[in-house]
Amino acid sequence: MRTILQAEDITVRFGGLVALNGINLSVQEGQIHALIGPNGAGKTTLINVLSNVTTPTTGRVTFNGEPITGLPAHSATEKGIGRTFQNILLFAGATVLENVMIARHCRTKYGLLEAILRTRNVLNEEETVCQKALQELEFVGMADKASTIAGNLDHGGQRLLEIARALATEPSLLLLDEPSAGMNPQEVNTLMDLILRIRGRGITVLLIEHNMQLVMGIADVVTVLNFGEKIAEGTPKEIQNNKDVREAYLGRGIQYA
Amino acid sequence: MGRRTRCAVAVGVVTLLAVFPLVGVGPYYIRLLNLAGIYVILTLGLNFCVGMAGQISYAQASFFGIGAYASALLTLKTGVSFWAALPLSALVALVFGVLLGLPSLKVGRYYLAIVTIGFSEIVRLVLLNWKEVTYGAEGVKNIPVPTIGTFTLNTDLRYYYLVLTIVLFAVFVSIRIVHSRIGRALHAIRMSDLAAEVMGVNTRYYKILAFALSAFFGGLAGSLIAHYDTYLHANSFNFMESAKILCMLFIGGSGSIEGPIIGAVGLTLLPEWLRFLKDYYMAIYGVGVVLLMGVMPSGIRSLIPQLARFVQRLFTNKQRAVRSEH
Amino acid sequence: MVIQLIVNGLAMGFIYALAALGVVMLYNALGIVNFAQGEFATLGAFIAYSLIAEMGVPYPLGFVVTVMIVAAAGVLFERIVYRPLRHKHFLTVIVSTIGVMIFFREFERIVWKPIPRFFPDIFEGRLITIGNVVIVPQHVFIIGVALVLMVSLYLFLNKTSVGAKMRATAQDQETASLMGVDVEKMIVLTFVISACLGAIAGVLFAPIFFITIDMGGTVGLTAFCASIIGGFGSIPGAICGALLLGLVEVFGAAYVSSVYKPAVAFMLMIAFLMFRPRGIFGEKVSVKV
Repeated sequence: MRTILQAEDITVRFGGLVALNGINLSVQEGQIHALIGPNGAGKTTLINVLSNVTTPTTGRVTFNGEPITGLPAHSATEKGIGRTFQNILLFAGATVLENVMIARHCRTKYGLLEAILRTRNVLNEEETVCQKALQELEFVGMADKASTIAGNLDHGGQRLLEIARALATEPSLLLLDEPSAGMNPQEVNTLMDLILRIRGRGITVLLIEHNMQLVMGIADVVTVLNFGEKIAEGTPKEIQNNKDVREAYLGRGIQYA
Repeated sequence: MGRRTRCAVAVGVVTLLAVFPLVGVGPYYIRLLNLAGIYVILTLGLNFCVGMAGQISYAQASFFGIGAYASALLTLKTGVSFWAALPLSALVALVFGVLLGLPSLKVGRYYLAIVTIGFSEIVRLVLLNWKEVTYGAEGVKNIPVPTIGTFTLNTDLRYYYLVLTIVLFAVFVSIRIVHSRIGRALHAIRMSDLAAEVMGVNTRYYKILAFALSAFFGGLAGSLIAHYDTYLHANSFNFMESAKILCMLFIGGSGSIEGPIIGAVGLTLLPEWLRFLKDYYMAIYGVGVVLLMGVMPSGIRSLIPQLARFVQRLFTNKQRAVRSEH
Repeated sequence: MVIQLIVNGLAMGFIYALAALGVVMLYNALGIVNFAQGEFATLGAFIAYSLIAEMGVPYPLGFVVTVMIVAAAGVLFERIVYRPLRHKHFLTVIVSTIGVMIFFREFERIVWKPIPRFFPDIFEGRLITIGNVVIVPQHVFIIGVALVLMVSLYLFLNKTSVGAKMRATAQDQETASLMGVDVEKMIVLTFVISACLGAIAGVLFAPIFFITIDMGGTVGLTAFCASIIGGFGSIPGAICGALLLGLVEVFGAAYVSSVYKPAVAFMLMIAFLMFRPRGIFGEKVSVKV
């Protein structure tokens, strides 16, 4: 097994607040890796660091052996890190298809002059953009909603669209920030199936989740954060039996499935 | 619409625009059409920055002015022909566009608005006071009229075809850009800076590109006005002029191609049709802008689908009426 | 010479400060920047001109009536312009404000004609001479009025219950309304105060230069620059920024060149935004991610 992503000694401070404190994380290729922890544990901050949305105060991230810390977020996407947002960040006024087409941006190359001249190359690339976008919509089961305005989708639909959009950037690592939030049990089952199919395409998945049924059901590795520190890591089984984890969650009423 | 139909419509529209001024339109109206055309170019330009990328700019009149001065001074002082000065002055404006684009990477919204206002004020003052180069407060006089061989574009009608050509170029370029990855990227930035970046859009590059394109179009329009009026004064390119172009963009409908055209043409011709309002026109215009933004924030353009449906219904009713007669 | 320039600069600075207070209060309360803020100043100057110079109303009464009329304009502004635009896109708000500016200017053009008006000097050209220092009384008057106003505004906001309600509204509208504050009323009040501050700045400014249609626009934009330099959202910052700009403008015009005076505020503001976006006091303004 090969390490696809390696985060070393990641610390993030916002003013006096320490959001992450010396986190080490390594994600293995082809796995579904879950990141869990109570609210405010720093999970989203970690995802922001890994997708280069936030620059860590200290520490470095290497992706496929290449250092990516400090690069702008779009180049992380270009290198193959796709992500979704916890508080859904769609292009609400655009159609579902347009949302996914925008995400093909970094997989197309033609420039301004070519666009104006509309060369053969442009037409070919545009055709691919449309095809791939439709493919991804098909993949998440939204092909029939292609011309709906994204803002008018129901909550579950918006989450799926975010995933389709992230997949359209052709990631080799997909970061999902609470994909099941606000979904009903049936939708969660579809989502679990979807995540497995994503892995089936050879894409490594790192996800933040609160839904333990989902985590225990499909994750290969689970990392637990609490107060910005890593408190445990292991298989779902090991995590379920971990004393520290139980303590961290105790009284929070979270039940393991 | 299929490719064929679109081509046919385009050819039809162009023919109509080419023939239109020949059939009994007086020179005064042709002058208005020329001005409308120049404002179409300006507004389509501003559309890249404000309409598509969502970056506020109060500086379109400055690019207009920079283009105008660059073109006038190039032809007067270095003796290059208008045909070389036109693209060159647009490039000069573009350089300033890139410069103004830089602050948009650091600040947004109201801050960017005031920075662009500041930029345009500084540009105006430099044009007004740098006597050695710009002739200062006297303005630039005797700007040469474009010629093709021995043929001089010295009438409104002749100039009309020059303006029309550049307008068609501007419309063409705008359409091509809107329907490309570049247009999508700009649009994405307007909707959400962060989401665009995470979807792989180099938001820094595209914001600057948006300003550069705006400035380029502004420069083209500037060169056209300089050699049309043959006289320039720095104070024409002031804050209110930028505000006027912004109003054209938003009243027509920003972000689209038809919106800026409707806005620019409409607001250039409207004062003529509303002449009876005399001095009250501008005051009513101000109120109109406020009301329109309140009721129809997407501009007049948002009426087009309704209008199309209305026309369609009119036709189907007619057909039905015809059928029932049989 | 230097003392004269300092007094002159401070007078200008306090005029900007009054307008800037209006800008900042509105921004803190509603999160909008009213680019038409300066138009209240122009309107104030013109109305005061008509009342005092043309109709012969005594200065203090004319002053108060002017401020009341402009306050009414502030209420209208809130009703007609701001309310329908609440929760609309920022660009729509900006364009709408342009409409307001055009309307104000054209209204003034129709009523007062595009002739620069000269406001009579209430001190009838007398000068204060101390040793070899000559001071224009209007400047001292401006500084005095502005200081009194600022102190009263401070006391009003911090020591009265209405002031507390206004501050609560500015901080968090939802919570304020849950606590029983009539948020709508507080918003109108904010507009009124902001318009009044603009009007007062206009009336004070009127005798220094000609009254023109563009006068307020310049004051308003300079005030906005001042509040950015001070750190946007900060009231002490806005005042410091405004005083700084007043002084820099006056000294710049005296020792360097007056040609670029209108650009001084912008250049200083751009420099601050680039190198010290926090301003002298206050929040950071970079694009939020």
